[in-house]
Amino acid sequence: MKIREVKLTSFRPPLPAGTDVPTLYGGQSIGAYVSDFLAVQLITDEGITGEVVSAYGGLSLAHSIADRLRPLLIGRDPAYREAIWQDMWRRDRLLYTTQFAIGTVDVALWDLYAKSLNAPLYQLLGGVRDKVPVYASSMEHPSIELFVEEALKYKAMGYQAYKMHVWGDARRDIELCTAVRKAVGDGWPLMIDVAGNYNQQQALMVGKVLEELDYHWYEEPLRDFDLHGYRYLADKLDVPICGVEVVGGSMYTTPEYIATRAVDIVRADVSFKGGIGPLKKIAGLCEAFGMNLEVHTNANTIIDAANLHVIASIANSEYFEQLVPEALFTLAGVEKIRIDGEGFAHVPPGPGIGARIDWELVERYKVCEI
Amino acid sequence: MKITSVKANLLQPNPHPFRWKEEWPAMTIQHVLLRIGSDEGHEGQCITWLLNPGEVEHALPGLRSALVGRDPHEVEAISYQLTDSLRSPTPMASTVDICLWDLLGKHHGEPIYRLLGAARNRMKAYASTVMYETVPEYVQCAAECYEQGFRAFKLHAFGVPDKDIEVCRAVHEAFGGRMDLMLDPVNAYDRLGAFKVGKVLEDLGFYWYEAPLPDSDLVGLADLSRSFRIPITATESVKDGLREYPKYLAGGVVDSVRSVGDWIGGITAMRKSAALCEAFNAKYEPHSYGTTHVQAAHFHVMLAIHNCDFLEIPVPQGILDVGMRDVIRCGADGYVDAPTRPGLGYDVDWAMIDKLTQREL
Repeated sequence: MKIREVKLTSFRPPLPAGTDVPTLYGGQSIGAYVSDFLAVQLITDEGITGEVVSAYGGLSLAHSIADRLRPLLIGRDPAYREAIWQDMWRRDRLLYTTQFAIGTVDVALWDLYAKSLNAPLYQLLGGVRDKVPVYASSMEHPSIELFVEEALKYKAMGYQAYKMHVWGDARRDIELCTAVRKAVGDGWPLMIDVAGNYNQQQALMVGKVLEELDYHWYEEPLRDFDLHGYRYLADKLDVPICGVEVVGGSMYTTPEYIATRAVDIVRADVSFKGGIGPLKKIAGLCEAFGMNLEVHTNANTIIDAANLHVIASIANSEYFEQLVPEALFTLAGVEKIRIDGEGFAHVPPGPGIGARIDWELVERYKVCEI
Repeated sequence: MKITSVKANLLQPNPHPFRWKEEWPAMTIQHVLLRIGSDEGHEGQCITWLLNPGEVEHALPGLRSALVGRDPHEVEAISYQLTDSLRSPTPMASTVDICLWDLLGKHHGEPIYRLLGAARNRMKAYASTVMYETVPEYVQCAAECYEQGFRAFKLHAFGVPDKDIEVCRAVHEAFGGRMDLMLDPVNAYDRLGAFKVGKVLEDLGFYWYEAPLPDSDLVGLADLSRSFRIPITATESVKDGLREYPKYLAGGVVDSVRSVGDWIGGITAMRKSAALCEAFNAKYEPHSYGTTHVQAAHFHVMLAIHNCDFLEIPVPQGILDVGMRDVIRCGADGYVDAPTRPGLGYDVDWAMIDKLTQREL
């Protein structure tokens, strides 16, 4: 089987009715992240197509893939995923490929190969489970009350934990964390993600409170590149420190964080780290060190399903992350990823990634095709 | 697809006595054919060489209750269950893992390396010797290997520094520049001996220097790795595998990691070990010494990664190809092509297996 054509369709669906533009970290809009997508199709000479919808990127991602990666893909056999990935990776040194380009293409390659064998992706990766505990992952809300309300709502729905994207203002965040812990009671796992908005002193101050409140992990308190800051925090705090998801360099930059114990839990996903192949490798790296990998998800059902397949094929990972409100983050799929009343996300059935792209939606909101 | 049967043929011991260094007496190699059958009529098979037949007999009832009824696609979960989450891998669990991947390949009609994600479809091979009594025998063996196409050659020498220096010089004099040369004294030296030999190998431009010290001597290995420009490779005797390797990489103890995949948890564990090494920008050079199936299990992992240079083939070629219709041989250009048949891709010779079988379990 050979790849004959790489079809790139950028599309911009509107935000679902009744939803506000989501914001994070002091009012920064992330509207584009949940509505500017690229559908990638790898079309073969045998009529099988590998496909995925990117996390963000839209038209700029399309140009990047068209100019720099498409020439490396035409004529290739999707069984040679490692070879193709290495080609993309090595040339990236000079091609300055847009973030997510390699990862998005790699996911489409794995989808293609798995479809050619009529097998769900996680089974080819070596299955561990077909459902994964899920946590609700918040947007920024203007008030503590709204966070509390949301936490209670998802607890009642059976979700197994709740992660807040906090404001990034240390004193207010402490108030927030305290109030949410009080509202949900002891024993239900809570996490926060600061997305790098504290300085080291603020990070330490909040971390000490999280320890007392028995938070499950403390994510990206500093910008990921601040290796020494992370070591300082990991030394001083008992609450598990979680990071590295936005560090570039795929798997190759992770060992330093692990070996110097700058983080206790590694974060990664298929988009940031270059696809299914590298994410599975990072899981192996973490396992060798006795550590967990917690997979980041974000933008839409299709790319998140790809992340879910990897989680289902590794034992050293606790959760699937469902950003909420779900309506904002479950575009592009015919169906959503099924989350049951016990708080498990189920791997979509069917070959490849399994999640079916809503082509009607893609067509309706198509920006262009290249 | 469901597993329906777990069977084993205990085969006659290998008639050839094996010795790889002076301090070890010649060993008798036992062979077992493990067979894991599915409801689709496929069978995952692996003929072993490091598995004690008594261990197989003891393990079979437990394996049957763990495996029958399971989908082999759950290989990651099954391997975890059989190895205490890879904390205690065994030859038995490793063999099961290899059989499961063979079964998966056969189910999907694909060679395993393609399932894993192919990086290439051929590998350069090196000839890996047994221990000979005299220096001329090594030179003779190297000549035969060169004739057969090998362009790389690894000596299992005597494990005695002065004698090993002599044999390395002799082989280098005959084939230096025409074959890449490696030495594996199988952990036999002390630190002084390791430095003495290392200096000579560096002068002779050996490709790597393997297992000079006990794998437990991390300080000594780190000292060697820092002191020599030729790569130091080790860790083959580290039977727990994946969870033991980080200290060798993070501490700069070795330049590349070696594994016995048929000890450390099979293809599943090797794949993770390769990823660990890749993240550290280090080579992963697992052995592939053993029966055809054991060679093949390693070969598939090597074909699916790019941070590995060589496939190891025991020489004289054929000494461990027990009960096979298909075998792995070095091509005239020093390379071995990937198998094209599904699974491990090398079929057994059932008439031969019948003849060799002492007991069926």
